[in-house]
Amino acid sequence: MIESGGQSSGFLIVIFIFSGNDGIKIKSKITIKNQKLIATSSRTPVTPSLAGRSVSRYHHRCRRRPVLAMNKTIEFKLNGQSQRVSSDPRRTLLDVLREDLQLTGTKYGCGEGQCRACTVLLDGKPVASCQTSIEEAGGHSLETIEGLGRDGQLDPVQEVFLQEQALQCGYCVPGLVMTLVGLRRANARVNEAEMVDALNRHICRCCGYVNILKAVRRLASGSPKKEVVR
Amino acid sequence: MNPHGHSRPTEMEFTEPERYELHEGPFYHFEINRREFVGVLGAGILISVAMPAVAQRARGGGGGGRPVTLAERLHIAPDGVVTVMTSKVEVGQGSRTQLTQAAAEELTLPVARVRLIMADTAMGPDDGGTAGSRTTPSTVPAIRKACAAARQLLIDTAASAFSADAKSLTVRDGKVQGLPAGKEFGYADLAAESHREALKREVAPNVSVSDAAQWTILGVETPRVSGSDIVGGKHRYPSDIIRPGMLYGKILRAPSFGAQLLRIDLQATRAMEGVTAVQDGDFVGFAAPNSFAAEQARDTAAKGAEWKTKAHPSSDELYTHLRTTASSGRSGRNVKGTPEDAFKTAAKKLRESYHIAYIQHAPMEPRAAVAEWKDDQLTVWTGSQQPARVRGDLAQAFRIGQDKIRVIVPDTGGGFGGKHSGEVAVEAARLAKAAQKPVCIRWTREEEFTWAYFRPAGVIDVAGALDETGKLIGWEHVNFNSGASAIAMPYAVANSATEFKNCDGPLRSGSYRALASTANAFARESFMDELAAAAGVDPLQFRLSHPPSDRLRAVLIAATDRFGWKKEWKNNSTRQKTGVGLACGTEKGSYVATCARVEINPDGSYKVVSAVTAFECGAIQNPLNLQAQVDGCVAMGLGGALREEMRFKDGRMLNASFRQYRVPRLKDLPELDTVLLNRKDLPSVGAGETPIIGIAPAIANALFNAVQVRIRSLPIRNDQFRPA
Repeated sequence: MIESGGQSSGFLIVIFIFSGNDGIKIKSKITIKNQKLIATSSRTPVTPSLAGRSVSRYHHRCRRRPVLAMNKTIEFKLNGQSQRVSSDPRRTLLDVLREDLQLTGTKYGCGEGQCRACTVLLDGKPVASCQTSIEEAGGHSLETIEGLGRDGQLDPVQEVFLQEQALQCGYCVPGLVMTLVGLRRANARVNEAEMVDALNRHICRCCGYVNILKAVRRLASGSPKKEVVR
Repeated sequence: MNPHGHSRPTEMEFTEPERYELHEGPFYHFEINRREFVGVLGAGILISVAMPAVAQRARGGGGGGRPVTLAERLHIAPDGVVTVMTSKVEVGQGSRTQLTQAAAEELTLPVARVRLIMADTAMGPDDGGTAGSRTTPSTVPAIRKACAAARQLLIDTAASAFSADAKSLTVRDGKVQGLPAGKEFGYADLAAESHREALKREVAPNVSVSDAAQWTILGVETPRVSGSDIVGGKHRYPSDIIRPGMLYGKILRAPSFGAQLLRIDLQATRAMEGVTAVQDGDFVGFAAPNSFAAEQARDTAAKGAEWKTKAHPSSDELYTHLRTTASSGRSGRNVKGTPEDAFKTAAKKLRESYHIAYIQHAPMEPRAAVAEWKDDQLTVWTGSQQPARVRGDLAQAFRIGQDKIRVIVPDTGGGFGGKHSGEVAVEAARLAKAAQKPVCIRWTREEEFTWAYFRPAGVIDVAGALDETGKLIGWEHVNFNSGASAIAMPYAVANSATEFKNCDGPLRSGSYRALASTANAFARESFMDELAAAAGVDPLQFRLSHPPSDRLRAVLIAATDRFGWKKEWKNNSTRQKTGVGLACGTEKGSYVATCARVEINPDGSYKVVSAVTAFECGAIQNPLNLQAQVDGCVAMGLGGALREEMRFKDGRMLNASFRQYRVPRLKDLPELDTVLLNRKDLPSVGAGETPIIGIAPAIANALFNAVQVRIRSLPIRNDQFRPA
């Protein structure tokens, strides 16, 4: 998954994986060689940011390229319509959606694919738009939260989130909804465990997980309608 | 109030001031800019109400002791829709829905016919910032009174219009009842021209509000009023605000805490297309047509920058550092009885120290602001719990009058006490001034994890003295650095001393959900367990035999009953690899008790299997939201209990990302059970903070029960308790 191709020495990444709340377990140690970015920033005496730069695949890729780049015309399908943008190809899909196309329903949460607030569907599959360059999106079909629902009707996933009040500040909701919509498109009979696995990659910092779990269970049980006062 | 937060506020005995909440800002006098009302609200009438000095200003806003003024609270449109205004913000805690319910209840209108304008410094009265769980006990009553006054106006105006006796009239569904047959009068009629004269009089300040027993809208499960917009991705958070011609900004950050910029060359970046580069003292920022271009400009400039770094303590030496830099005075010591004598005569004495780490709020939406200048008038949209304070910060930064600044806070993506500051607003406004275009700045997660502020770390020393019968006769509790809230002993002990000591904390610190109550409850409730073990008594029995207040006792009984504590405790003494623990506490006028069950995995790690929480905050105003707040608090509290901890070295954060700083996720959720006690006879108080304080000590006590190892540090790392 992580690109290689530079000339630097190796770099050790330790991935911490949590299973349940049973504390930290080191699941795997991966030695990644030839990370040009890391070599570059370690040579640079001063970096603009304070903390260790996140090991973002996207950032690695885009920083390996020269600073000066020409805008490129990139075409893709967006919420069923053809869309063409002129952009530096290294920009994230997230930034282009929000800044160029004013589709702000897709949220930034971490910039490293850890919180999935930025989830959109790429050819029907949930992806982190902060980890996808606009160039990579070219030629594909994209769907954002704005594209869900038809004729003013909410998608069943949105409906269930509303019914179960699976929202507090609501900032994480578009990402959660897009992931579940993607899962249900791929498999209409997706079960609770599969949905929980997928949503475990998301973060709801209000920790509204009780109601999110209720929404998942309702979807798994076939989403019976429940009256909701709005 | 002194800056150390030791004195008690007079208005509410149970509210310990937090030193981190205090703000020595200038006295902000609020002027209403009438032009804004017309622009936003359109035709109709405005109803002003007498505003007493806001009780929580010492915590929330700047200054205090403001005289009573008239402020526009309500607007009634010709179609009968009522708009209520407040300076409070919605950050996910449900205030918008609850305040709408409060207004609808008193106006006797359906929720859908009440609009709420929140947190716009150009609109409505200043109810203070959103902090300290004050919205429910302060702002809900203020809005209810204003709306009850409007209802009375409706009755009085109808009475005079139809020559009826006002006493015989009531209001239902926004319409006056008891009028002559065929006559109708409602809020829309109030807004009509012919009745304007009737409204030009004082609203009775002592108007009565409805009794909790009669509530039909408050007290009822009410879903989020903005729920449809949220699930539809339509709600505009502060980071979603777009203005015509808007640029995106990035700020050059120091390479380490306290580093000073010696030299930087901005020539190369100024040559970049569409880039505005600004250096103003230590501030260096870049605005560009998109955030990627701004980042490129910043990174280019950063390569040649020279800095002078400064020594900074590391998180490894944190607790020693706090202890050695503690204030030596004893001004903050509260003594009851003669604790020193009690410790001299005690049969058993215990003394332990507890540690609690720096943690971060990490709201899903990092700090964001859009700033726009127009003819020296500055408008800023930003995510802050303190719009008035942000306006004050902007006025100071740009040396302009507050009347030239409007701060608007769209419903924001999380706060948890972490958004009381206005730095991103000042940054955006500085770049917007230079670029002469609106500028949007959205902090990255890394910036948020580094340059925002943190829940203070602390060291807590606790000592207890038992007599021959196992009775607690002496208590001492000293908190270094993390705060004084909930430091008071809630159990009956004849002799006690509590004290808070200021220290030189290495990280920028501020408020947090329940703030120091979590630290103080962790130390106290863990130590109560140690004392119970020393006395050879069931920890529940030990607590009840030093009787806390009736309300604390009630939640303790409710939680342990639901959990089946007595049976669990008895059975568990013979069982291996599982443990049960309990804890309770009170803060900000509400009461919580939590029981937890842990299991030790075959590899020696542990997991929290289930938790039962009982909570009481007076009369419940929205059971749906209360449940969400309690569940959310307990789940969030798991993070601070099990994993969350900011680590730093040489002035740099070592874990400024969600990959390294692990917050709770869906699969971390134990089985949660909640008992909500509804005390309709008591005033409602806030509920978004206190339920977080019980889970950590309940887990620590459960781990002791399982493996007989005491946990005295948060987060609870596996190496702390691993059984021998």
